[in-house]
Amino acid sequence: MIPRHLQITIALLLLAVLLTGIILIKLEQHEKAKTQAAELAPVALTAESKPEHIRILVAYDDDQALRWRDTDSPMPQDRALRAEEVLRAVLAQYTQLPSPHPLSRAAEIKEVFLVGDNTLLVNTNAAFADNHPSGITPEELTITSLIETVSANVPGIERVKFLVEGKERETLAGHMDLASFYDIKMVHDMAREFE
Amino acid sequence: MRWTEKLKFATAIALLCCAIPVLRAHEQSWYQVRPSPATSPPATVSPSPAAPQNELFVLLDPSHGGDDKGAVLGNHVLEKDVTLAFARAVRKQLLDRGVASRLLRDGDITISLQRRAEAANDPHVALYVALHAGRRIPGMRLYTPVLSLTTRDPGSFLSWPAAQQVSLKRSESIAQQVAKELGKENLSASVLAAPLRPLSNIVAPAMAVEISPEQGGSGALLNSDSERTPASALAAAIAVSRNQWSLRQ
Ligand SMILES: [Zn+2]
Repeated sequence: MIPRHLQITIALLLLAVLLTGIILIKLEQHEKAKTQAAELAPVALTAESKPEHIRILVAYDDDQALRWRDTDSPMPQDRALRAEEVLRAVLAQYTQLPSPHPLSRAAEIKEVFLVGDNTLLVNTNAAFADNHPSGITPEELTITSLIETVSANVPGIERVKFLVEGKERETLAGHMDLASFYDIKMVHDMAREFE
Repeated sequence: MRWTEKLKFATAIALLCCAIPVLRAHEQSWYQVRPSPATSPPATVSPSPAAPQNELFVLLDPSHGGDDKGAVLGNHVLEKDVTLAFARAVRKQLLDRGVASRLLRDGDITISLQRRAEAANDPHVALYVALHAGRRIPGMRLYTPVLSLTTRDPGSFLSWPAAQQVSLKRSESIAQQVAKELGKENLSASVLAAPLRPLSNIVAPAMAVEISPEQGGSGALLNSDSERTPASALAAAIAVSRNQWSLRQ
């Protein structure tokens, strides 16, 4: 006969496995729901989101300029999620038709990681970089509009680095450096050239 | 074993089982954000030693080439072809002015950014000029390198991402002088700063020059009164700024 303490242990183990399975399924469902929501709308509404007035910096290819645009969006309080939402709001301007700065419709911001208090890692999908138009100005407009928008809506971010599918890449499309960190002050200077 | 001890033992095992998937999930996300070792540049680059003045030359880099077409400039005009034609024209004009120069590529071949930087870190390169072409460029654009604060080094040993640090001030000064000289030729030139590769990996003074596709042709005139082409104007400006870039490092 199996000892009683072993019976209890096996029962608890089975319970732990069951709970872990349920948690993993829930997490997967949550991720799927998040992705679907991002595809449908530029800014996804989360339970902690509150409607907010935000400013996004949008690139215009016709006159090679960057202009602020005001919009109302539900914004989360968490800084990393907030950064993710504003970046998606900018990218949505470029992936829809008509677009002032057309990028691939498949381009996505996959996720954003906050490292410490002031460093942001932005992970994009392959389509964002692979299909990006090559050229100094188009690449600079994309990078500048994304980082300036984060800086305006997420206080305390001092540097940003882009990853593509979780990996470092040399350039966005042959010109702008993606291997280095972008200091916010340096990006402010770059943005001034497009005023 | 008492009942409470049995419960403690069982709880510990259950917690361990729960912890394993969580730890694995963390491990996966760490791998995702870690830069790929395959794309990481070499850790260090040695500063260029001093070279005799007569051996110094300007390295002209027709950007892109081979599989890397660069920008598509309309009507089947590719940036890689425009930059090569322009680089050849500038080399000829520099030769006419007694300035030694070499092309980093003289054909339609693929060269990685790392290989370009390695070639530019030859100790005899006095000035590195990357040539690009873009749409709707009024005049010429001169780009100076930008170094992230994160990559700047306080020490004397140069890291690969911050190799340009020793020459950054001179790069900016040369670009300003070249722009001024181009202005004298009625060719408007603006000096901008942008983090372009491989400028930051180069020890010598470095800049990128962006032209419009129309300027790439050697026959294009700057204005009706001048025999100067954009290539000859750029070569003349580079020759005039020789006092700055021919200095020993
Ligand atoms: Zn180019």
